[in-house]
Amino acid sequence: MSEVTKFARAINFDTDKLLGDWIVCIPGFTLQKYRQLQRSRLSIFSMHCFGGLISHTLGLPFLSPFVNLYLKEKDYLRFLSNPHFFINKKLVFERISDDLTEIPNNYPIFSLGNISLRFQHYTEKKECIQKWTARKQRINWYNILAVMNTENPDVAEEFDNLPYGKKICFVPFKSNLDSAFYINPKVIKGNVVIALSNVVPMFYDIFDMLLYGKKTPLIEM
Amino acid sequence: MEINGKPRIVIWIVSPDQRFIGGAVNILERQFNGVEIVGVTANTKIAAKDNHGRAVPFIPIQELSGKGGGVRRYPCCRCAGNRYVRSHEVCTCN
Repeated sequence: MSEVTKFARAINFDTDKLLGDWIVCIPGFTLQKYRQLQRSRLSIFSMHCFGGLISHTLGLPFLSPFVNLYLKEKDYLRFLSNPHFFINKKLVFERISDDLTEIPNNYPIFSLGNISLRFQHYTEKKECIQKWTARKQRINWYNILAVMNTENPDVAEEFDNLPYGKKICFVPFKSNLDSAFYINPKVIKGNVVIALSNVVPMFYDIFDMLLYGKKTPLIEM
Repeated sequence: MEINGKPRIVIWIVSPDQRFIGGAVNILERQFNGVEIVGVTANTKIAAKDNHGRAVPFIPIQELSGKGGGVRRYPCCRCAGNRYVRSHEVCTCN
């Protein structure tokens, strides 16, 4: 919860009436869609921080444990193929990351069954377990959006075959797959996740995306 | 969701970053055929500036939330009249 929302609640201000000015300026915004999104209690399954970043940008609560961590593509697809099974597994500490090419590094890696979760923005193992456990309780299984990105057309196809009503895969190539959202690779500069969270709302209607999993392009790429 | 009449807005300034407020009000005005800005407030002494670089008056939100509203005004820089302005298009001196 943001400091503004906390303060508003403390003085008995109706927080349903709060609306960030930056949210109004996001292309495709209408008050009706935004309120619908707020009330929908969306849970975003994401292989990295994109879900958390978009939730933060739109002032939505984190109703998903996929915040501040990432999974490799294969592990993520394995999770999505049987999410209830993996969510009910116990988080077991594996090791501390020693990949010096990553920034940050020296973060805890946990196992969840036979998949690995990389808690890249944490240092304390106890905090990883606490946050994961608390946030997985908040999942709204009636409104899930699965999100990922890949450069591999086979992975995009495997993702497209998963049984999710709302699923989005950002890809750097044109594709006919319903779940594939093309993002011109030339606009991705620096960290891919941060770049995606910045450019996606400029190229696609983010409200249609989150509410319906719908592809509404805003400009030609 | 239905809003009868023009939406009433209180602008609650929570940081000195004012890149979006003008655009946001314009967008809501277009979408609702006009909005009524009933107040401008802050809960801390934010050094907020309006479009003309003047400091926005600091009014604690606790004072505002208990009241029925009312238009906060400050002078248009052209005519120094007592009208609420965001831009010169709003003030009738233009």
